[in-house]
Formats: sequence, C-alpha cells, structure tokens
Amino acid sequence: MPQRSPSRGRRDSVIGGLMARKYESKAKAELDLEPKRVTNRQLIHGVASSFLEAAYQRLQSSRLTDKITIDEDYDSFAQTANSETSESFWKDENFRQEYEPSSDAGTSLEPLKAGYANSSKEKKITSETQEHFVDILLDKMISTILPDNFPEREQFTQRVNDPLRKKRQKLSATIFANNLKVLTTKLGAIFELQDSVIRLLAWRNPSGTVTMLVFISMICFNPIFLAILPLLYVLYGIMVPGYMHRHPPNRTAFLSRRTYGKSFLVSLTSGGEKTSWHPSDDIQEYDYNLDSDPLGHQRAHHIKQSMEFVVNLRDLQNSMSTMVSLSKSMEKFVFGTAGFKDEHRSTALFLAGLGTLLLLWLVSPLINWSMVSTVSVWTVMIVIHPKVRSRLAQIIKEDQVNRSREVLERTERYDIILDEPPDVRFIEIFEIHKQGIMPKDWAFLKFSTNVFDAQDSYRKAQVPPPGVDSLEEIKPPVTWAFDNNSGWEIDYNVEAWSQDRGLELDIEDEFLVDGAFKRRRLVRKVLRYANPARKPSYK
Amino acid sequence: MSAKSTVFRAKLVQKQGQKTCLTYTTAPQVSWALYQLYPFLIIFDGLLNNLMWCCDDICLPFIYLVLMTLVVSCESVLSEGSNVLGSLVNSWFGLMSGAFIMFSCMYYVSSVLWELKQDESPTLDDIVVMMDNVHYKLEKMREDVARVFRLQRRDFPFLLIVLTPLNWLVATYLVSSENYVKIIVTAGLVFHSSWCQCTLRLIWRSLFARHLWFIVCKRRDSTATDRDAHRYTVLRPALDVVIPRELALLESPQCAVKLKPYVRDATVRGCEHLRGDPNFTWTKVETVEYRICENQRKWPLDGWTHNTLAYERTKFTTGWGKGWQQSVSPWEFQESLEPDWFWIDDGWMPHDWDYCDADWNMLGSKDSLDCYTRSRSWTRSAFRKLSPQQAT
Repeated sequence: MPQRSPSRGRRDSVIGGLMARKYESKAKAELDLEPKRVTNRQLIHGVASSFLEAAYQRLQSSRLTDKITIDEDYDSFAQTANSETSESFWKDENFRQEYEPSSDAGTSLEPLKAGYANSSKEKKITSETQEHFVDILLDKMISTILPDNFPEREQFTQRVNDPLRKKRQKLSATIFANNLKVLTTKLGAIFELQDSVIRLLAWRNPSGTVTMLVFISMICFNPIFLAILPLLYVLYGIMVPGYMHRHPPNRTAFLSRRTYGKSFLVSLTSGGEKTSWHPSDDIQEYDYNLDSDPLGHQRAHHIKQSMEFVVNLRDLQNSMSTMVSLSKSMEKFVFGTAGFKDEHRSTALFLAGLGTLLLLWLVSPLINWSMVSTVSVWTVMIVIHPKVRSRLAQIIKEDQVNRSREVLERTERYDIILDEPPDVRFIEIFEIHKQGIMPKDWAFLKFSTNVFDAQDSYRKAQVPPPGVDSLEEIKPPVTWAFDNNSGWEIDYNVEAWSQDRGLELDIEDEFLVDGAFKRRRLVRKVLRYANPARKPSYK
Repeated sequence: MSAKSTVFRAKLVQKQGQKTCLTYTTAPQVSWALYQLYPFLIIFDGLLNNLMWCCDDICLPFIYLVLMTLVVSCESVLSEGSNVLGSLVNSWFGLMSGAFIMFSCMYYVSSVLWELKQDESPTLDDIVVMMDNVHYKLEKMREDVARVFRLQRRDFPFLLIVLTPLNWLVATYLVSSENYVKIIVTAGLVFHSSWCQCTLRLIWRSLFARHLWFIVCKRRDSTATDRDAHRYTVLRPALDVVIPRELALLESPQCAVKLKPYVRDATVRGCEHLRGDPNFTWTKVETVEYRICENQRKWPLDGWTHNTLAYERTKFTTGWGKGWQQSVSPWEFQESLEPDWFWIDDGWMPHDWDYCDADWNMLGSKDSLDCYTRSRSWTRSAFRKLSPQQAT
C-alpha cells in the first residue's frame, strides 16, 4: 500500500502523492472500514497474477512446440507481437545512449528488467518440458463446459466452420487469460473516461460541462463538427500533449503555494466536489535518471501496478454487471414492453410512438432543429443539475407526479380497447368403449386423444390409452380456453373423420367400431385471445 | 546490484524559487509596498493564466473565448438587420455574455481580495515568487511574440506595404467585419496558449511553411554590393619581394609565373636577409586570400549533407554572416582566376568545420546536439605583381 511519508525524498513524495491522488477516493472507503481486506486483496492479486503468469508461460511454450500453420502462426504473432516488441518500442531514439551500453555493461540501469528477463527465460525453459497443471485444469473445465454431444451444436456449425473464423485462434483459456491480464492493466484509461463523463453529467466539473455543451451546440448548428472534433481531439488531446511532454513549453515558473480567487462560473454551477479532472496517468514521471532512489521508485511503481490491476479488475467486474443488467433491461423491453406482453401498455406506447413519428415527419421541415436540439440539450443539462433538480423536485410535488401517473394509467386502461375477435379452434376427444362378453354389450373405457385402433401402440401393448374418465377432467390445450357457450358435441360425420385418419372400419350410428372397441368423436370449440408473448430462446 | 555497476550521475540544477532570508534584507517600506502590490499581482497573474491557458481549469479560458466571440457578434446587429428575431437573439446573447464576463471579473477580484483577507498574510517569499511568476509569464509571452515576429527593423516597411492592402482585401471582400474581429479576438486569446505555441513550432518544422515565411517576411534585397570584395581578403597590399635580377627583366606574365616561389618565401620567412645582395632586386606584389565556405546541414537520417534549405546558404558561399553570396566550388573557381593573378599555394587549404546552430550562428568546432549546420572555409592565396604606379 502506498505509504505517504512527507519526510522522504522529493521523488517519493511526488509518487506517493500521485498514488494517493489516484487511489485515495477509490480505496479509502474500503481500507478504512476493513483493514483486513488489504491482505485479501494482495492474496487475490497474488493468485491471479501467478495464474495469469503461468498461463502466459504456457502460451509462450506452446508457440514453440506446436506444429502450427502459417495462418495460426501469423495470428499468434499478431497476438504476441505487442508483448514481444513492446520492449523495443518504448525505447527512445533520442536516448539511445541510455539503454544501449546497459545491455552489456550488466543491468546497471534497469536491474529489475534484466532480472525479470533472466528469470522469465529460466521459467520458459522449465515450462517447455511440462504442461502447467493449471492449464490442464482449465482445459478440463472448458471441455466439461462444452461436451461433444452438445445438443445445439448444429446451430453453431456454420459459425464454427466459417473459414474466416477457423483461421482465428481456437478458444483457449491461456489466450483468454492473457488478454484479460493485458486488458485489465490498460482498461484504466477507459474507466477514467467513464468517470470523467459521469463528472461532466453531474456538473462536478462545471466548466467542463459548459465546454461540452458549447461543443454540442456547435455540432447542432454545424454537424460537420462531428467529424472535426474527433480530429481536433486527436491533434490537441493526444498529439500536442505528447509533443509538449517531449518538448515542454515551460509556461509556468513555480507552483504557487495556493491559488487565490474563484471563477464565477464554477462557483455558480458547481454540482459538487470534483475529485480529479486530469487523468492522473498524465502525470507520469518518465525519467531515465532513476538515480535518487531506484528501489523506492520500483516499489512505488509496483504498488501502483498492483493497485491499478485490482482496481481495474473491480471496475471491469462492475461494468460487466452493468452490462448484464443493461442487457436484462433491454431484454425486458424487447420481450415485454415491445413484445406486447402487457397489451395495454404496449399498445399505448405504440400509438404514442406512431403519433410522435407522424408529428415529427410532418413538422420537421418547419422547425429549426439546430436551435431546438441546442436548447433541449442545454435545458436537459440544466435540469439535471443537482441544485436545479432539488428545486424542481420541490416545485413538482410528489402527489402531482402520482396524479399524473394515475391519469396515464387510466388512459392506458380505458382508452385502449382490446376487443379483437379471438382465435377459434376445435379440440377433439375420442370416447372409447370396450366390448363386453355380449356383442351388444359395450362398456365405457376412457376419453382419450388416441383413436385406439388396431395399430395403436397402447392397444398392441394391451394397456388402455392415456385419458380420463369424465369430460369435466379434460382441460383445453395450453394457452387455449373453452368457449363457455358451447359444450362437447358429438361428431356425427363419422365417415369423414375416419377417412381422414385412414381407418376403414364399420360405422354404427356415431361410433366407429373395430370389433373389440368402438369410439366416437367429441368436438368442442376453444378460444385464444393471443399467442403467448415471445421469449428468449434460453428461457 | 553491485557497486561496480552503479553509474554515477550528476544532478540537474533546480530552479530556486525561494530566496533565503528576504525578510531580514528587505527594507520595511519595500515590504509594505510589495504587500500592497500582492493582490494586484495575483489578479494580474490570473489574467495571464487565462491568456496563456495554463490555469488549473483549462475549460475556463475556452468558455471566456466563446463568450468574447459572442460579445463580438453582438456588434453586428446594426449592419445585418435582415432577420430581426435572429439579430435580437444575437444581441441579447452578446449583451448577456458581456455582462457575464464583467461579472466574472468582478467576482474573481472580490473573491481574491476576500480570500486574501481570510488567509494568513503572505510572506515576502510568497510575494517574490508571485512576482517571479508574473515576470516569467510576461517574458514567455514576449518570447512568443518575438519568435513569430522575428523581424529586422528594415523589414517593417515591406511588411506594411504588403500586408496593408492584403488586410484591406481580406476585410472587405473575404470576411465580414464581424468575422474579422472575431478571428482577431480568437487569435489573440488563443495565441499564447501552449497548444497554439506547440502548433506553431510543429508547423515550423515543415519546409513548406519555412518557404512561405521566407517569401513573406525574410525576402532580402538581392542586390549584390561589391561582389568581388567578398571573394578575397587582402593579406598584404604591397609585399616587398626580392627576386633575382634576371627575372625582373622578363615580361610581366612570364616574370609573374616564376615569381611564385619567391613570393611564398617572402610570405613565410621574409626576405630581409637578402637586402643588399647585388644579384637580387626588389619588387612589390599584392597578396590576397580567396576564401570559399562549404556549407552543410545535419539531417536526422542522412547525417551531414550538402542539402541545405532553399533560402539559406548554398553548398558553397563566399562571405560570412548575413552577407553571404552563392559561389561556385573552389575547383571551378580556380579556373576563372583573372589573368594578372597567380596562385601562391598549390591547392586549396581546407580548415576545420565550424559548427553552427540552425541559423548559422557559430557554436564551436565540435559537433553537438544543438548543432544543425556546419561550415568550413577553403582558402588559397594569390598574388599579382604591382606595376610601379600601383606600388606607389
């Protein structure tokens, strides 16, 4: 954990400050509440990193031993190219003297790196000979997840056999873990971006919010800015800072003890404390002169790395949870609201949408959309300002909201008329009688869905067909309902229904007789208002 | 890490912001005056920060910039007059922006004063650091301007003559006056930002930009004044040379050709020891030294090559400093020597390279990181026999 000791050297304090600034807000709450979690976290990180390290080593060794095609080789090269060439990539052409002599003058400048290289080489040698047990375990796990007789495999064959897809890498725990490891260390910027967007929307960085609004207004009035602004960002958000890092313009001489004065805009519109605006990664110390305290520097770097890893992992997990809940609500919308599950609501929604659509279509040529969108964006941003929102909440009382909601519900309830004629189908049942000892002596056996003719499997097995003993026990098919105004009716057109089933038997009144059994067909009307709502395939 | 492998490195000099013991060495009146000055310094520093876009919140200068442009566009209401509602909205926004800027300034000033009152009074060091800051920033702004307007005083008339009609044309036909003022305000507010400065520096890297700049600002008058005067420097206007009597009897050209070893002797050793010798006679020659500079520029990939920029020195030049002239190579030049001149040396003598910065200001005799150009002279001396009239 970063220890901030003001008595230590300048570098330490700078890095300590950096560390503290970056992680104060994120880690403080947890640390203060549960000091034990520190060790847990370290444990987790230790386990995770060793696991990932093993996976990585496995990947390295498998590349050497496997017989690989050119495509696979290319792909794995593309995967590992970054990690292999990154060392040389980060070397600076202008500081060649700093790293070239160090390679044979023994590791003096970068002892850590060289040591790491040696140890990794050793590891590689050992791991070439034996597969890591974690790997075997993972492969087992995957093979249990995906058995060969996977029922829906046919569905995926096209994806699996797709020649383009085949070229790519196979599912591998090692590659996945490696990618996860690399991504996790690099995702910090994305989460930082996420945070800064939240800060902008919550007015915790008011000048930034206003700047954003100005940019949005510019886009609204001249949409080509949509193309210009990203370029502007690349030039002045990434490239010029990079240039300024290499050739500092030195615009300020000394840092003042404190800054006096407030901006009117900021004090007027601030929505809360902003923790940081510049991503703290910008304030890294690229220093080839690690003389003052190389060990301390390494330690700080290490702490930062591991902290960042865990924090990023946590953020990744949280954002995955967000994704899951988002997909759930999307699902709810697609299969619920948009799937006419609640027909009142869906109909109301559709009609409202249709009305809006037509209105927009008709009105759009008459409206200055730049102005409207600008004004609406500004209005929305002003309305969601924390101070304004609370004021608005005071003005718009809760019961007003409730009342309007009631009105809306009533509209849904009584202004939407669901009176389409339902689907009508007929269900049939066979009333089966068994011949007694006398030829004219018939005894009721069952109401069944089976005709129970001589070819019937139940008949061959000499068991009665599935069925019930009384008509009251018969239920309509799933999702269907009996028409209450019609009862069971005997089908007197025996010839027709027996011919439909290919039965050429004797007909006695309404019965079809085949010697030991006779049956008649009972028919009843069933109704259904609508098909059941759509469901996702896995539900 | 073994002790052997540790590299010992010197440390950079750090800027010393704090002056020691100012309190004891400063007169109370001065301290008092500085104390009175402090709020103004802070406010001025705030202004400079906004101009240089180096305050903590870099969005604020941008917002002020937008507000300023809105204020400017408010002025155009009278001239347009076509869309009443639009111009009304415009002018309302302009007025509001102006009021907002005014109010922001007032708020800032009052908040500075109030915070100063709340805070403990500043130490003398604080005040001096603030003064240093303000001075440093002003100096930077001056440098920014000076770097762009790196002009000789004599260039100003030319610039005025070229730019005034251009200015008039642009303002009259290309952009409306409103946009013109807007551009000027924007440029003025953005110019001192480090982004703008970096952009200018990056643009300066392009050859095209430099050509353009040269065409606009640095066009020198190419009237070569006394062209030959630069070619050589007179070593001895009238050198006494002692020659054998029979040589003196020859016609002038033949005599001069044979004169060479004696002239060389005379320049190297002098010929006073032969004074009074009856076999020899005295004559006078003028010796000069021709000097041609060879110029090279350092390119990151190819190293030193003769590939120099189009507006700077060519491969071979004569003359030094600003008054250089393009020249042919020494070996071409030696063929075109005038008939009454004769070489003393057998060949051209190369001197060591002089290494210069990007503007051909000499830095030293060794290549270094800040050397981008280099130049060396090839010298060869020549003489001509002076007729008795010239000798006197």
